[in-house]
Amino acid sequence: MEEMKKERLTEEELLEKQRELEAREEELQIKESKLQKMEEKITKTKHGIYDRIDVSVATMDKIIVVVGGLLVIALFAGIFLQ
Amino acid sequence: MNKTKKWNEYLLDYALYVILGLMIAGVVIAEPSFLSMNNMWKILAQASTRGILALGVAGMIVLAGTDLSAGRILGCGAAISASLLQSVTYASRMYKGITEPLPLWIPLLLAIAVCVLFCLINGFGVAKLHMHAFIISLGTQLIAYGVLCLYIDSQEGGAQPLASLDPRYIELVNGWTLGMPNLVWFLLICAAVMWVIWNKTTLGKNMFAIGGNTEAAAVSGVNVAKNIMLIYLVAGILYGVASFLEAGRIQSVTTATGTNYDLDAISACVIGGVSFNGGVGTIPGVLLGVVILQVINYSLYYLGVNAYLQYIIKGLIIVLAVAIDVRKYIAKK
Repeated sequence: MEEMKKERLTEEELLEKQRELEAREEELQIKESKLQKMEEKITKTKHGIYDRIDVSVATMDKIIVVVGGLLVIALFAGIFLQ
Repeated sequence: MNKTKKWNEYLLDYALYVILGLMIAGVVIAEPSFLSMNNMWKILAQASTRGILALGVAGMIVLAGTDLSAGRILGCGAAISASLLQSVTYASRMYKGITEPLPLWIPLLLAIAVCVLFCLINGFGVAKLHMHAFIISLGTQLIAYGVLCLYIDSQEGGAQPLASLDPRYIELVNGWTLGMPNLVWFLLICAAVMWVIWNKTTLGKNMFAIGGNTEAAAVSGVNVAKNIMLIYLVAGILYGVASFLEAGRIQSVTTATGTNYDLDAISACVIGGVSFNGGVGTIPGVLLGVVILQVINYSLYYLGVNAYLQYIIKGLIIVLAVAIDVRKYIAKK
């Protein structure tokens, strides 16, 4: 009991500790926001030209079939219609 | 249903190779002589200089850029090589002051120097000024073409083809060694060197990192500007080598030399799986794309397809290759 009484912090020391903690929390928040901005820059930036394409896989399949068909027609036309 | 879906996926992912494979099979059935060894070596020899060019362009595409000036830069290098290696007995040669044949390495180094200079201009624009590679290379393409025309026009007799080349030069480029054309050997050597650079060096790793995500690469400590400049430098060296070999192969350099070579190089890269989105590509893929494109060119010519229709067919091949690339990317996302 005596020891516990000795280890008790005074009111001033408590306030000091609180101020320290608040300062550390502020620092942490600043670091966190910096990290968040860096992450956004890396993950959300449309850095590749394909990121700008807003088309479904099914639509791309149809495009491929159409272009492939046109290619086959062009080849046939070139070979057989001379 | 799952099996059918899987087959459909494979068919769509490899649609281009399927169509081209069928086309080549059709050509072989119609003209069995197409498969002769002589034809195969001709195709590979023609593909070699374009292949070396494509190895340089591939690096830029991996960086999520492109290079529209590759063909014209090759033309400049070829003009320098040819002008310095014209036969000393040819009365209308460009440099009449050259009375003794020059060592072959001098024109080669000069061609490389000129090509590197143009590529570094492109690299500076991309790395330091953050211009899109398409724009800067479009400008450089025109500048290189102007320089080429002025150089060829500066001859005493006006703009005549640079021909009648030194027999040593012709033999070096068009000769055969160990049963294979020298041009194919040069392509394989360049491809081997590039494979090592792409896969076993820090520069190669950085190239893929920058192409995949430039911001992430920068945050990871990669010197983006320096690495971009180095990639362009390497491309310039390759263009110089390709231009030296091309001049020796065609044996007559004009202002039209190199026209559309860049489109062929870009097409070969796209067919070979180098993604325009950046960060994806392999050296064997580039070589495969070059060979496939050359086989297509040759087979269309062999079958007597109308020259204008050949443009349409090649254009559709590029569109199909890019569409498949986009599909793979979207499906992965």
